[in-house]
Amino acid sequence: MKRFLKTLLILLSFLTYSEEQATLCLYTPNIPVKSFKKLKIEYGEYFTKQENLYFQPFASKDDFEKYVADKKNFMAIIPGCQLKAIPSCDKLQTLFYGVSDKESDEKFFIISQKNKPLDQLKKIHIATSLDEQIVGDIISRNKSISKDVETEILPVSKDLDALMSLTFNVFEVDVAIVSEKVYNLYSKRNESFSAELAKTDSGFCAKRTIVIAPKDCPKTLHKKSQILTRLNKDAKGRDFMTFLSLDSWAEYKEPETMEESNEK
Amino acid sequence: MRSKFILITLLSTLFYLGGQAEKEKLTLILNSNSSIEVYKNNESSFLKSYKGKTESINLASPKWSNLDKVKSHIYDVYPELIYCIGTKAYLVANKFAPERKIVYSSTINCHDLPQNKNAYGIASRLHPGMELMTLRMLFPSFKKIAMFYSRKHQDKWIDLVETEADRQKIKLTTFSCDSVWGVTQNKLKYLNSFDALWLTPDPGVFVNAAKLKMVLDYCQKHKIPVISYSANLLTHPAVATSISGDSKTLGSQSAILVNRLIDGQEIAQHIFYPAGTEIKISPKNCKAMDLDVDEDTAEMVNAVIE
Repeated sequence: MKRFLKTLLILLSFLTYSEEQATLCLYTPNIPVKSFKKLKIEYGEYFTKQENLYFQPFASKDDFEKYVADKKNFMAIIPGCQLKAIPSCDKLQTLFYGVSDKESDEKFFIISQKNKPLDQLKKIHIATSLDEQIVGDIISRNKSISKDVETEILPVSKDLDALMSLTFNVFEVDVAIVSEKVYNLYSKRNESFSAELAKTDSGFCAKRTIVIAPKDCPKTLHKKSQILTRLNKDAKGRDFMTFLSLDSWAEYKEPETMEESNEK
Repeated sequence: MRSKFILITLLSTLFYLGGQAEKEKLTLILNSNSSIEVYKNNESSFLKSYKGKTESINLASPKWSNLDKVKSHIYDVYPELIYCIGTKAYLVANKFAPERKIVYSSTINCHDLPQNKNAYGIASRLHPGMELMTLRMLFPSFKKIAMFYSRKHQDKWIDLVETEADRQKIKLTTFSCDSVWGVTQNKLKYLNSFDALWLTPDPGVFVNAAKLKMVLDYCQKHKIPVISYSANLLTHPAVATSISGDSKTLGSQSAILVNRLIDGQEIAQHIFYPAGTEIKISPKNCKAMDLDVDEDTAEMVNAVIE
C-alpha cells in the first residue's frame, strides 16, 4: 500500500510539473529596458522555441518576488547581490554566474566623507541599493564602526544616487555602500568630488549576475537551463547576452556558500 | 483578596492598553490620486519602509469626493501625523488639521505651498548639484547650458544652481523672465550659442502651454537639445532626456521622516531634497538633436523612451 501511495505521489508530482511550463524570469534593475512588453515579445518566442521556456521579465522587485514565491519550475536571472534579499533565498540554488571581460565578482565599498570618519559617527545615515540584512552584516563586521552605532538605511534604486546623495549631503546621508564598478566610474568622472570621499572595503562581494532556481525544482529544469550556455551560438542568443552585458555563463559550483563568497 | 486581584488585573490591563495606544500612533496617508503611477509608487514604497500603524485615503475616489467627509474623518481618527502625497493632499491636510504633524512628497513647487511650522517634506526637484552631475555624466559634450527662470519663483534656487555649475565647471547662463508674459520670442535667439537648454517647472517663465511649445519648437528647429523635468515632455522631438526625483525613493525618504517625527525627534530642516533620480531618455530625440549619450553611464538611466 505504502509503495503504491509513493508511486502515486511521484506520478502526481510528475504530472503537475509536466503541466506547468518552466519560466525564465529576468530581474535586472541595473539594465535600462526600453519596454518590458517589447522585451518579452523580442525574446519570448526565442526561448519558447528553444526549450519551451516561458520568458517573463520584471521591472519591479516586488512583482518578481510575488511571481516566484510559490513556483518550483522556474529559473531567474538576477544580480548576485539581490539573492539574499529574496524572502525564500534559503530554498534557492545558484546554477550559473555571468562572466564579462573575464570578471564575474562585484565588490562593494563603504564610502564616507573624509571629514566625517566612520569611527566618529554615532548615528549613520546609509544610502544603498543593497538589502537591509546585507547592510546590517557589513556594518557589524566593520572594525572602524562602533558596535553601538545607530543606523538608518535609505534604500535607493541606483548606486550612483547613493554617491550623489553623499556628495551633496542630501537627506543627511553620511555613508554610501556601493559596488566597485559604480564607484570607479563615479571617481573617474568626478575627480574633484571623489577626492573628498573615503573608501573602505565592505567585505561584501557578490557575483554580478546569477541564474537561480529552487533547490527542489524539477530535473527537467536543469536540462532546460543549459540553453543559457548555448546562447552565444546563434544571433538572437548573442543579442540577449549583449543586452545583459555578458560574454558567457559559467556553472556555479558548490560548496561556495554565500558566507564564503562574502569573505572574499 | 479577590477584589485586590481584580484591581491589579484592571490596572495592568489599563497600563497595557495605554502602552499600546502610545505605540500605535496613527499615520493617515492622504493620496491625491492613487491611480497616478508616481503617487502609487510613492505610497507603496512608503508602506514598504514604514512599519507603524497607517490608514489610507485616496482623495480621487468617489467615496472621498466630498471634502467635508474627509474633514470629519480626520477629526474622527485624529492621526498623530498626516502623510500627504501630491499638492491636493497637502492643501487638504493643511486646511483641516494644520495643528497635526504633516509630511508631504510629490507636490508641485513645494516652496509655493502655504507655510506650516508642523509640515516637513521632500521636494520634487533634485539638488541642482545632483542634476548637473547627472547631466555631465550622461552628456559629457555639454559645456554651455542655458536656463530661463523667474525671480518670483526661483530666486534662492537659482543662486544654488549657479554655485553648483561653477563647482562642476559648467558654463551655465541664466536668463530671467520676470514680465507677466513670461519667456518671450526675442529671448530665444540667445539660445543659439548653447549646447543645451535646461528646462525648469517655472510658472513665471512658462505662463501657459503655448509658451512651452514655442520654446520647444524653437529648440527643435535650431537643434538645441532640451533637458526636461518631466518625462511627459519626451514626446516633443527636442527633449532628449528628463531628470526628476525617483518616486519610490521619495516614499522611502518620507517613511524615514515620519518615523523620526513619530519618535518625537526634533527636525530642524523642513524641506529635504530627493535622494533618488529618475532618468528617462529618448535615443530617437537624442539622434535627431545630434547628441551622443555616454555608453558607460547608461546604467544611470531608468527607462529608455522610444
